[in-house]
Amino acid sequence: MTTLEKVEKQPEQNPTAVENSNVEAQMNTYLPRTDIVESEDAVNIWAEMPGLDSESVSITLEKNVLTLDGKFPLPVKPDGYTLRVGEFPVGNYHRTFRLSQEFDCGEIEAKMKDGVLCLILPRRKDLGPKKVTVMSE
Amino acid sequence: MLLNQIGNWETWDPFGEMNHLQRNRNHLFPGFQADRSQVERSQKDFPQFNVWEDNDGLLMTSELPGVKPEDLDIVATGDVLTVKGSKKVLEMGEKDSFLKRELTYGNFSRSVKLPYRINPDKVEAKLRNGILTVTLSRPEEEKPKNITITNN
Repeated sequence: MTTLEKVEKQPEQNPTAVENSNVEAQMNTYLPRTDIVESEDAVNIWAEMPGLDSESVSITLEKNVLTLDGKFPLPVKPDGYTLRVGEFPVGNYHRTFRLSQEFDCGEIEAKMKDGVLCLILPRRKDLGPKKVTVMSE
Repeated sequence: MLLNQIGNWETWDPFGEMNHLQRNRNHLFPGFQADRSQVERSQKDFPQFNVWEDNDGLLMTSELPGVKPEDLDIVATGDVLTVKGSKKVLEMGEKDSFLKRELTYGNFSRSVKLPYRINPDKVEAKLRNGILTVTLSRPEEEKPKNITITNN
């Protein structure tokens, strides 16, 4: 059994940031926790962005840098409620990944599943082993 | 001034004094203290809750990304709320391997004591985009009562 501490006892949580009407300007940006899983024909990136739906996430690829940007949907404060205990902060998400040349960048798939952004980066098929025939003169 | 001193003497708490010393010591290493308390928090209590209140009761939110509603169990009895569940790895083939592993998987359970007894028939839980929202209603008999002062 754990007890919930009142907001006043937790200076590090900074409840004013949540209560303030001008939240967007004050909202922190967090690095989403990420798992990267490698399979034979693709690499999967799973990034946790709780609270965000597919419309609040933007993914851009510039040269070989993949950028994930998540904007926490406003309002943060449920209508008519006052914050009593704040154990976790909410905010925006941002993270970049440098890709190698072996991915088919046009075929990247992205989906939001229960607050987790799931990206599939398929490997380029034209990089597979090639046989070179030796000709005789 | 004298009153203050007497007051302090009567309520003097040796452990409080030690806490005070501890605070001062930590003050010298502010980074250390912040790190330690963060580690302790994250290891002890999962999931973490934000608790909101209005006149009719409480609204508790919790971040549970990747958890499916069928893997979540919420029990509210009296003034205790328990959130239990498990988080499973997303689809993964046998030959697949982790290149980076930051997420945690497995079972979790946390019980918290609420500030009052809630109405167990009026508990609502929603899981949306990885955020759990539990609405708990405060019964009439648990609401604060205004006491009218009369002149005699």
